[in-house]
Amino acid sequence: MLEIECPWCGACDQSEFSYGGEAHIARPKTPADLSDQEWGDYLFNRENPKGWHREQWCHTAGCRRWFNAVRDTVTCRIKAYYRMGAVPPEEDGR
Amino acid sequence: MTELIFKPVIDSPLLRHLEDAQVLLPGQTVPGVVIKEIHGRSLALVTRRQDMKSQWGELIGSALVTNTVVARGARNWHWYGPGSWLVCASGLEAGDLAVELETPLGGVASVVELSHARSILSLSGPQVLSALAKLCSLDLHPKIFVVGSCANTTMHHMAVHIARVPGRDDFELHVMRGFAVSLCEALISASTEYGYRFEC
Ligand SMILES: [Zn+2]
Repeated sequence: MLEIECPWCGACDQSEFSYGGEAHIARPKTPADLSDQEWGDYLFNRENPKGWHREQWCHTAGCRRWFNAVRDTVTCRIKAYYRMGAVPPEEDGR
Repeated sequence: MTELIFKPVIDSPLLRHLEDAQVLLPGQTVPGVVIKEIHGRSLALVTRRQDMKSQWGELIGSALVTNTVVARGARNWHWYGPGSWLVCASGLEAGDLAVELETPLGGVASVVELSHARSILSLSGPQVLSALAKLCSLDLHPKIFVVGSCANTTMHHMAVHIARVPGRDDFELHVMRGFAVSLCEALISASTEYGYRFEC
């Protein structure tokens, strides 16, 4: 089981969290203009990387807030947490 | 808001389904775990409106901290999430707590009466930490989960709010009333090897 650092509550067991899949997938502004391929990409196709993955978690049983984490899909180590809507840590120039 | 549309009836689902019980180990005089239902508590959930942070600060101040129970007069404010607090009081008529909070907070926060929605248990006894460790993944050691701490968590897959209320030496557990019997059965089953007393 993972121990996840909720940005509000601190370290809690994974069983208190819900997984929300890959982060930063924006809903298309005009879905009606999309081809089936593009709509399918939005709905189903994900990066699924071997390595660092930006993903969404919700502290369902705790403070009920969504946040983002950067997790290594091989080791499950989480190296960063950041708020919904915030710039991912690797891209903010730090 | 001046009056509630309905007055909640605060009764106990445990009284209808469970009976007081005590199981002691051979030679034991004091049960290892004491589980008691707390009756007559009023609860209201206060959620600050998103654009009201400065007005909230003027009214309430910044003394309300993450995962902490803060006593403000005779009311205990339990942190319930960012911008959200569970206010607890004793000795009030059903529904009066929400009305009391609505008066100063109306417009700045939403107030939801929850007295009828939760069952509250008090857990104490020399083996209470051992029994809770089987059900709760949080570190409840008195040096970590100090008096004045609170958290939302799960026990046996049920959402539970756990708190160490200032001025009390027990653990307080809040559970949705529909799960109260299940939670008590889980607590009793976890406590049996230490000897327990259950009172509702
Ligand atoms: Zn949290």
